[in-house]
Parts: sequence; C-alpha cells; structure tokens
Amino acid sequence: MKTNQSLEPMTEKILDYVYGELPPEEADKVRARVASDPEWKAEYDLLAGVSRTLDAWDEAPAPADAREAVLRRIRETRPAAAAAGAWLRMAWERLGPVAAAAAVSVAILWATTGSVGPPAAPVKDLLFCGVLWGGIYHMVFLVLLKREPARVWVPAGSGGYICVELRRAVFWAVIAFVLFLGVALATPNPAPFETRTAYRGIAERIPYPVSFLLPAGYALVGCLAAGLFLGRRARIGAGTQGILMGVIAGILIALDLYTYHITYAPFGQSTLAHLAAWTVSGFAVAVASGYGGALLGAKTATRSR
Amino acid sequence: MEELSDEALAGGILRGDDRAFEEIMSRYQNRIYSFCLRYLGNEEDAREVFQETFLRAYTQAHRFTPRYRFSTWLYTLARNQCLDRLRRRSRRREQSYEELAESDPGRIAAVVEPADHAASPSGGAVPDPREEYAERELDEKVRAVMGRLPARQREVILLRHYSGLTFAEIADSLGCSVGTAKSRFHFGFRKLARLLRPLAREM
Repeated sequence: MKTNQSLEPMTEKILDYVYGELPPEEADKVRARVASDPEWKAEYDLLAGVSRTLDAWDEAPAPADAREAVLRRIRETRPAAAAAGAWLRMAWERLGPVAAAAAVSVAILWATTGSVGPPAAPVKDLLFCGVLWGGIYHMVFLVLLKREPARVWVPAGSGGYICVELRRAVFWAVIAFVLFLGVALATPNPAPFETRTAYRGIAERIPYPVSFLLPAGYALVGCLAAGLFLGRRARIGAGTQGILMGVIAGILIALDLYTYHITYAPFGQSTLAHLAAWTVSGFAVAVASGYGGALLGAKTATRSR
Repeated sequence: MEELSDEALAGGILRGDDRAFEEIMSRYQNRIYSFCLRYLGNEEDAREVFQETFLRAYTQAHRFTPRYRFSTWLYTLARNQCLDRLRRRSRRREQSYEELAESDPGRIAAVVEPADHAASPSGGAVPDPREEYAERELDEKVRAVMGRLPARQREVILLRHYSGLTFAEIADSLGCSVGTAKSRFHFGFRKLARLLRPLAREM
C-alpha cells in the first residue's frame, strides 16, 4: 500500500493534537473544530482510541545480563578503538591542514611554471569561475580537459604571459578539495556544546535542502557579482581576477563553514586550531578553484580569437 | 547534584568517561530494549540489537550532532539496527515478525473477533472474555496486531507513540519529510484501528 501520499491538513493537525504537538491556540482551534464537525470528530475518536489502546503495551525491562554484556564488550574493545581513534585524530589535526596548504601551494607553483610564448589572450568573461569551488565543478573540468588537454597562456601583466597546463592545475585543485573534505570530516568541533546548542534553534528553522545549498548560493552570488564588476569594468588579468574571486568565495565559504561547524559538526575538543584548519582549507580550495576558473576563461578567450 | 543532560553525557563518553555511558544506558536501556522488542517481535533478536545499538552509541559517539536530541540519535541507531536485522532475517528466510503474526492466526483472530475465539493463545479455555483483557494478555495482543503492520508504518508508530519523538524528529531520523512520516503513521493507525476495534470497544 502506498503510504507516502499526503494527508489532509486537518488530519495532520488532529494527529499533532492527539500527540500534543500543537501550540495552545492551534490546539483550541482543533478542539473546537472536532467538537462541531462529526466527520473530524470520528477521525479524532479513531486516532485517540487507537492511541489509548496502544498504551496497554507496557515497556519491557532490558535483561540485566544484556546490559552487562555491553559494558563488558566496551571494556574489551576500548584500548584498540581508542588507539586507532587517537592516531587518526592526530594525523588529521596535524597533517591535514598542512597537507592541504602544501598541495595548493604546489598546485599553483606547478601550474604557473611553463614557457612564455604565444600572443596575448585578453580574458573575455569569467562569470562562471566563482562557482567552481565545489568538487562537482572540478569533476566537470576533468571531463572537459580529457577531451582536449591544453596549455593556456595567461596574461601576466606588462606584456608577459604565463603558460599553464590546465590538467595539472585542476588535478591539484581536486587534491586540495579532497584534503579539505578530509579535514572537514575528521576534525572535531571547536565550539563548546552550549554555544552550538544556542545556534541549533536558529539552524533548525532553515529547511534542510536550503541549508545544504547555502554555501553554493553564497559563492555563486558573491562571485557572479565580483565577476561582473571586475571582468567588465576593471578588466584586470585572469590570474588576479580568479584569485580575487576565490578569496571572495573563500570568505563566504569560511563564514558558512563557521556557522555550520559550530552548529552541526560532531563535538570534541575545544580548540581554535580546528576552526582555523577549516577556514584555511576553505580558502585554499576557493583560491585554487577561482584560479582554475580564470585559466579556463583565458582558454575560452584564446579560442574565440 | 544537578542532573546532566543527555547531550552533556554524550560529551562525557567522548572524553572516555565510563560513568557517563553507564548513566546513558541506565536512562535508555528499558526504552531501547522495548523499542527493539516491539519492532522485531522476538526477544532474542531484540536482545542482540539492543546490545549492538549501545555498542554503536559508544563507538560512534563522535558522530552525534546537536542538530538532534540525543534520544533521537539513539533511536535512529536502534531503528537502523532493527531494519538490518529484518533484512537479514528475510534473506535467510527466517520467520519474520510479520510471518510470525500471520502464522499464528489464532492470536490475531482473538483480537479481531474475541467473542468467536474463546481460546487463549496457549489453548486454555477462557471463561469470561472481559477477564481476558488482563494487562499481560492485552499486551500480547497489541504486540501481535502490531506485527501485521508493514515495517515502515510500524517504526513510525513506535517512535511517535512509545519513544516520544516528535513527527519532525521522526522525519529526520528516517530521512523523509514530516508529511511522509505522518502519512505512514496515519495509514498504520487506520490499519491498527481495524484490527483493534473489538479491543477498543471493550476497554
């Protein structure tokens, strides 16, 4: 039987009423409606009647030896589990942020190492580079680049150009992103429990899909605006534009991560180092992505000429 | 001494405080065991799932987030373990809760039409139907009727009626919308109403 079809709003309210989930004024309205409408009274009687009958099913006490078995198994397994957890935590706390920063640095160095050559290719339009910070976009880039491995000559100011191998740049951006995710998932929440509980009330008012899309939304709106301003008016170099947009996205992501982190992330030790790790990795990914977007923009511009 | 919240105790578990875990167990052991028993309809399975649930609560305490109440998280663990158990049972072609209920029609029939079935589940004569609704027997009958519900409806009813989770918390726990949770609950309740009608009349 299909059971995910929607109920009538009044049925839902009666359900909430029976289980005391309605605020007092709503409850009064439902009570009055039920009293005056035979159809809804029948519905209420049915639900309340079943509810009363179910009360007859008493709670069963847990067997004492089952509790003891749990405590015994915990005592037996704790040393190994604790050792593994400690090792992982230490590795991520100390190596994760360092590795992420190192990967991004190497990516930028590697990507910008090349010959200086072909003619100038002014950047045409980099509107989309701000949305490149996420892993999905990186994957799209990889697919695109597999079709046509390319070298791009990016204007570097003063008539010079930098030759870039896009595949390498994107490869390292992906590495940075993976490291970022690792850091994000592995580091404990830095905020004290009480702080996060205070945020919980606010966060729960935001529907889950909306909160999930917020980081992408910030980056998209912020970087589109920046792209419009910088790309159309200032006409600065691709690399600079990409990095600027990356920084803007990074700030937005860091803000979002901050609120997310203190609200939802698993809690543990309270230390600012973890928050710093998140923020730095967020910046690193954003800069790498923005830069990648700038390079792609330069490639587009080269083709269009 | 001020009583610590469940969430604070969860923090204690993370810091390796065994007393925090024991306190959590003391608070929830009966509720979680009853949830498992009501879900699975079998004491042996309920016992194993109960143990697995608390072991996971200990080893995965770092995964708990304050987006949920601790109890919601704990019931989610228990529900997932119960569901796993049902699936494994089904794969091994063992007797499931539903099959158990259906293979014991006398038990169900005694609920649906008590007047026509003057025999207790064990086969002994029951002289007065009204005496039949002694607490223990009623308990058994509700349990048997619950076994006839599809697992998805049963779990929502168990979580809302017996575990005290709100519909919003149940939706979070099951990964569905609040509307879907309510819909499953409502359809389950309607089915229960049909099966329990004779009982309700005599209560």
